[in-house]
Amino acid sequence: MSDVMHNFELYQPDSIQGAADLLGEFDDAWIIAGAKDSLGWFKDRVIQPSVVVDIGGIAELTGIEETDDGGLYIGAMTTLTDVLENPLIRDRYPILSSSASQVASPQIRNAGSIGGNISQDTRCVYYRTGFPCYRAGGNTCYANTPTAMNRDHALFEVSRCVAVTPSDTAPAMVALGASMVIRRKGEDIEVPASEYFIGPEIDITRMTVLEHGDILLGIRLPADWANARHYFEKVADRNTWDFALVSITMVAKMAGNAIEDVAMVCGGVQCTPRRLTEVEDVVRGEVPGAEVETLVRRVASRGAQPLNFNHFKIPLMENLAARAVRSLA
Amino acid sequence: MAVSGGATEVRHQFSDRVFHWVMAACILVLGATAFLPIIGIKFDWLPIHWWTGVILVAAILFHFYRVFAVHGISKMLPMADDVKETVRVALNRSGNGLKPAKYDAFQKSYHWTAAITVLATAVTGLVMLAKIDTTFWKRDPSLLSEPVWGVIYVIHGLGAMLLLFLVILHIYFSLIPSHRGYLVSMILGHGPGLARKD
Repeated sequence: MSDVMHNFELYQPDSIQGAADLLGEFDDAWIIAGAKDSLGWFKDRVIQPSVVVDIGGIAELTGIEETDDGGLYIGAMTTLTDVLENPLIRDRYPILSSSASQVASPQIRNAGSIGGNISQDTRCVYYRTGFPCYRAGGNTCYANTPTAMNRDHALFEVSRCVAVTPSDTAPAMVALGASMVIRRKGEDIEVPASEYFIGPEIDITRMTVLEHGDILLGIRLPADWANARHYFEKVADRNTWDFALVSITMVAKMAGNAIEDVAMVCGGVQCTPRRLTEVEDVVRGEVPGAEVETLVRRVASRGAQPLNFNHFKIPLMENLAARAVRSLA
Repeated sequence: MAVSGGATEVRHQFSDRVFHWVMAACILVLGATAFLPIIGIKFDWLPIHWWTGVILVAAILFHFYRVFAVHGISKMLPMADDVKETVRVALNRSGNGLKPAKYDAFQKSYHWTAAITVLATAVTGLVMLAKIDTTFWKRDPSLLSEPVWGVIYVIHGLGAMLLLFLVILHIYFSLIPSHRGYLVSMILGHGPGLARKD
């Protein structure tokens, strides 16, 4: 139940070091970027930190610039609107602008940041409404029971918790081979997107490698997939302001009519963006067509273990993967 | 096995030594998979943990067979002399007159403490298997009520922490020179036949 927010001390540092100092000073400090995820937590009164550190005013964290290797660097606080409208991203990484354009609503995209979007918490209804589940530090999963509302939940890589990643842009980061630049204990480290997102088998209370005190500074996009063919499709209950039931993200390089190389990532089916490596292996070197699509459908959902009410995600996932390959024909 | 004070007796038979080391390996793996993620070393600990737990339970059942069908339990039962021995050590007194025994009072105390702790932790762990999906069964968290699950988790957690302490204690005492013979006997079989001599 939503309510007015609790009382908290709000700090708005104007430098990364200032933010890091605050996070180090207060043990229960909660960092907010665009706050689109956090304010929901606060209004639901499920999370009530006494200190909130708003990094929205740190100019260093905003902006999109070219890097020496031909790629791009996107500041973590860059708004989703800036990402989807940026001409460099539209030209080189249209998959990212496509996925950013599907996030929530225009108002949320104007305020929400790319760093916050990829790092947001899961939308599992039990977890979000304060059930003491595994992810909340408890000892059970309320979504994985015979009568639970679990149509939004995971098909793969379930380890006690069955929550999925809600991010539309996170699969694009994995497909593009992005790296996340993180300030940790005074040092900047780079974590590949494939390792940035973590499942419940590794840590059941987090969705990314970010720990208390860490600040996501930005995202580095390599030039590897710049100007490649791309495909993004998101299926949700509503066409706007909704989270994906399943999404598919694909980048591909063509050699004539054949697929030379491809990266395909599925969102909404497990706790982390799911790389469809078996599909990639099937289509690599092949000419898109009905036969290849049949094969893609056969392997796309291999290993899926549906819950009571999310069986529909299997054909959805298979068809989205096939449609992505069809777009290359 | 003859009971005498000689150092060349077969103190632990081969199958009992195998059980000990299998159990030791299981406890170490279970401890590592339980505590390393808590201190920040993250990995997919759960499958390793529950598989090792199942192996440990199998080893415990094998131990039960050896105890009840082969050795008998008498050598490990606490006797009046064990109390006397404990009191004497506590009061820093020496003296003879205690019956010889394969295991002294402190070895028996350790064994029973470890046995009860391992059993409590293993039984609660077995019940907790109902909370996970495996190749062999599907989870059924409604098996017990929430308060009972809470008690199960508390017992399992406390048992794990006590076991951590007992493992440290056991390794320490097995490595000190005066106990070297017991360590060798658990590796090679031969060692002091009696822990408490007349």
